[in-house]
Amino acid sequence: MTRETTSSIVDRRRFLQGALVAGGAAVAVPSILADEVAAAAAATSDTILVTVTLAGGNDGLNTIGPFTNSAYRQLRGSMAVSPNNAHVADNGLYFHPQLRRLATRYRRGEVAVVQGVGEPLADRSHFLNLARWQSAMPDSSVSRTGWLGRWLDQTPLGTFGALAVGGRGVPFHMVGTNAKVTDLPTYGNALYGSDTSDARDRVMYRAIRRMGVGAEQPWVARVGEVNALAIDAAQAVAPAMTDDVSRDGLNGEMILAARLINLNLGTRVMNVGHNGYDTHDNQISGNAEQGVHAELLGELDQALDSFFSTLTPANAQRVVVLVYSEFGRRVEPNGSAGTDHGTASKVFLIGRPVQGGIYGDAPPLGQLDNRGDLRITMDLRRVYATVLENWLETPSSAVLGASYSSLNILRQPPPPAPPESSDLRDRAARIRARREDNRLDYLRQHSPTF
Amino acid sequence: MALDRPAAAHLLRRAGMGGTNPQIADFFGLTRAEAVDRVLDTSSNPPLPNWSQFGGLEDWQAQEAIIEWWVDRMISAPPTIEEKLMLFLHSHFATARDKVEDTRLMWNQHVALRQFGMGSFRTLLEKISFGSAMLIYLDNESNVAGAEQENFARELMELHTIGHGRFEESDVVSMARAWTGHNTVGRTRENNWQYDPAYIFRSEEHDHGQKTLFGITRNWDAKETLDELCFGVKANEMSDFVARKVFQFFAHTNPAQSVVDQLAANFRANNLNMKLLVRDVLLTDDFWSPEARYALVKSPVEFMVDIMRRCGMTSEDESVRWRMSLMGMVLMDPPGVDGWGQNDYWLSTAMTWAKSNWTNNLKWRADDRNILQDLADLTPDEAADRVIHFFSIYDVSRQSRLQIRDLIEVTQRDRRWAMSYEPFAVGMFMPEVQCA
Repeated sequence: MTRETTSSIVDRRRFLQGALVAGGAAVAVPSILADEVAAAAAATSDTILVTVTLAGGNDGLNTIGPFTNSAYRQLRGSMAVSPNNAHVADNGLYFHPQLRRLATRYRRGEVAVVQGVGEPLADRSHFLNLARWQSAMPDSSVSRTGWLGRWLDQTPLGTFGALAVGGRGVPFHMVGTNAKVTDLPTYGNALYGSDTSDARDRVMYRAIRRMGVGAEQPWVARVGEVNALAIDAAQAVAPAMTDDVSRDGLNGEMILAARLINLNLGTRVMNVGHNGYDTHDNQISGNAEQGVHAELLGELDQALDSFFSTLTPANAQRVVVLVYSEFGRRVEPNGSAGTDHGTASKVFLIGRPVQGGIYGDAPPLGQLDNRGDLRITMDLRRVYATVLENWLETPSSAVLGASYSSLNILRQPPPPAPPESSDLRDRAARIRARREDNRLDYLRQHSPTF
Repeated sequence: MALDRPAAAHLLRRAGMGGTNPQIADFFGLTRAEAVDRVLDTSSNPPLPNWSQFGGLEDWQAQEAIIEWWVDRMISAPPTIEEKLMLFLHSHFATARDKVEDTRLMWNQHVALRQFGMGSFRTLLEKISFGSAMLIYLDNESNVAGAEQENFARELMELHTIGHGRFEESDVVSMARAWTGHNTVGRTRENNWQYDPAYIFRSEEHDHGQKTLFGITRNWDAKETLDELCFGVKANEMSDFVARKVFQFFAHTNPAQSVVDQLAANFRANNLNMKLLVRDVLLTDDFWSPEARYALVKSPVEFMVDIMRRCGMTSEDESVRWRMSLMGMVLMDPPGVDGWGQNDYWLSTAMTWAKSNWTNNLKWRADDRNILQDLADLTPDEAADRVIHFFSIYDVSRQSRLQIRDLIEVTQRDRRWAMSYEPFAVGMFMPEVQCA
C-alpha cells in the first residue's frame, strides 16, 4: 500500500516558480522539474531525523534491561536474559547480547536510552495504542494525523523531503493533512525513468516530459508535470539503488537510507520499518539469546551499524536516529515462550549529535500496575518534544497540541554544513547540464523569437 | 443539445469505466438527457454471482478472487452507472478486510451496496451501518452501555452523512450511546466460543437513558439517529454533504455552492434517491463544461480497467491485486476510514512510478495482442491520430498530440522496428489517458 497526501497549492507554486519569460511571452519550461532536484541538493546543512519503527511492540525490558536484578530474574523466569554475554551500560542496565555494536556505540557516547516511555492514556488495544504513540495528541481522541505528519504540514519540502523507505506505505506517524511523503520502494533501480543508458528510452522520456505542457485543462498539465517529476526522481535516487538493498531486509533498507542522505536530496525526515516484534510466541528459543526476539535485535544491531558506516562523516553530524516501538510487553511471560502486550518501553536516540546515557526513571519492578505492567515514567510526547524542539527546531506545542519539556539529549546548535563531495558536484553538474539542454531544446522548438 | 463524439466519450469516462469506440458511437447524437438516462438504465446488467463462487478459499484468497471478478466485471460491463457508482460507494462507506478479517462479510456489504446504492440513501445507510462488516470495522461491535466505543458514532456523522464541523463532541458521546448494544454476537458459551459475526441487538447492553443529540433530548436509539440525520434537523447538512461529494466524484472537485444547493434541494425532494441525485449531477451544465473535461485524475482501478479493456486483457493476464497494491488502491482494503481521495491524492511520486512501471511493462505485449501494429506505413499525423483514438481521446491537448506525432516521426525514421510498441507505450502516458 502506498499512501501519500500532497498539497497542490505548495506544489503548483514550486512548479510555477520555474516559468520562464522568452520573447515577451511566458513559456512554461518542462525541464524546470529538474530544478527541484538541484535545489534540494544545495541545502546540505539541514538536520535530518530517521525514525526506525519496531512494529508490533518491542520488549524493551529484554532489549536493554536490569539483567542482574533479582526482581527481573524472578519475574521473567526462563525468559530472563543472562548477563553473561550481555553488554554493560549504566544504572545497572545491560544491552541484550545481540546488541553488541549498539553497545559499543553507547560507550562512545552516541546512544541515549530513554526508559519508562509510554502513553499515559493507553489501553492495550493494539490498534489504539499504535494510533496514540504515533499520533501523540494530548487527549484520548483518535487523531487522523501523526506527529511527524503535523510537522510536515507546516514545513514545505521537496519530493524527497520526507521518505518512507521500503515501499510498504507511509507509516501513520508521518501522515498529515497536506504532508507529502514519498514512499520509496527498494527496487528503485527498476523505477521507470531511472535507466538512461538507452537512446530509445531517452526519446520516450523526452516525449513524456513535454506532454501536458501548456494544456488549458489544469489537471492535464498537472498530470504531465507529475509524470516528468517521477522520471527525474527515479534518476535522482538511482545512484543509491543497487540490487543488494532490495535483498537484504532491514540492513539493505538502512544502507539505502544512508545513501539517500549522502545524495543530498533535501531529505529532512525518513522512516524505516522493522516488522515482527509482536512476540506472543517463541520470543525466546531455549534461552533468551536465541529465538525470534534475539534474531530481530541482531538484525537491528547490524542494520544500525551499516547505516552509520554508510553515512559520510559530514552527514553523520546532522543525522539523529529515533528507534521506537508502539508499546512494550508484559513483564511476566505467557505460556507460549512469549510475552503479551504491555505498556512502557524504551526509546533510543542515536547519532553523533546525541549526548549518550540513560534518561528517565526505570519503572520499578516491585510496583507493577494492577495488570502486571510496568508503570510509565515518561510521557512519550517528551521524547517527541525533544526531537521537535532541539533537532527540527519547532515548538512542540505547534505539533503536539501542548507544550512538553524536552530532555537534554541533543547537542545544540545544529552542526555546520558538510562540504559537497565531488560525486555530488558531478551529479549536480549533470542535472544542470541536462536542464539547460532541455530548456534550449524547448525554446528552439516553441519560442518564435529564440 | 446533441452529443458530439468528445462529449459522448466524456460521459462514458465519468458515468462508465471509459467507453470503447463502438460504445461511444452509440451515444453520438443523443441529447444529454437521453444519453444520461441510458447510462442510468442498469436493467440489463449481468446478475451477481453467489458467495459460493468465492467460498472455500483462504480468506485473503477469497478477497483476491472477488477483486479479480470485480475487475473483469468492470472491464466487460455495459457502459452504465453501476460500476462507477460502486467505486464511489465503496470509498464513501470505506471498510477494509484487513481489519474485518472476514471476506464473506465484505462480500455481503458489496452486494448491499449494489442492491441499495441506487435507491434511498436512508435505506442504504441503514443496510451498511447494521452490516457486520461495518460493525466490526468501526468497532461498534464493542460499543456497550457504560463502556462506549465512539468510533462508529463519529464516522457515521463525519464521513457518512454530514461532514466535519457539523456536530459537537457531545453529539459523538450521545450518538455512541444511542448505538450501544447494536453489536455482533461475538464469542459465546452457547456457540462453544466460536466467533459469530452476525448482528445482534442486546437490550441489556443498550443505554436506554435520555441522551441529548443535536440539541434534542430523548431516549435515542440507532435507527432514529439515522432518521434525524437524513430527514430531521440535519437533513440540510446531510444533503449538502452527500450531493457535494457525488458531484465531486462525477463532475469536478470544485463546485459552486449554488450548484450544490440546487442538487441538495432536489435530493431532499426526491426522498434521497441516489440514482436521481446522480442523474441531476450528470445533467448540470457544469458537468458538460470545458472546465469539467479531464478535470479528474483516474484512480488506479479506473486506469487499469480502461487500459486492460482496450488491450483485450482480463484478470487472467495481470496480477491485478499486486499491481493495485503498488498503485495504492486495493479494493476492499482502503487505507483508512475516509477511503481514497481524488486527483492530487493519486499523483504521488511512488504511485506514478508504480503506474509507469506497469505501462512500461505492458508495451512488450503490444505485439502479441495486436495492439496498434499497423502504424509503420501511415504518415506521422495519421499514426498519431490512430494512437490517440485507440484510447478514445477526441479532444487531445496540443502538446500530447505533438509529442506522439514527433515520436512516431523519429521512430519511423531511425528505429522502424520499434514502431510496434513505442507509440503505444508513450500513448499511455498521455495526461488525457490518465485523466477522466
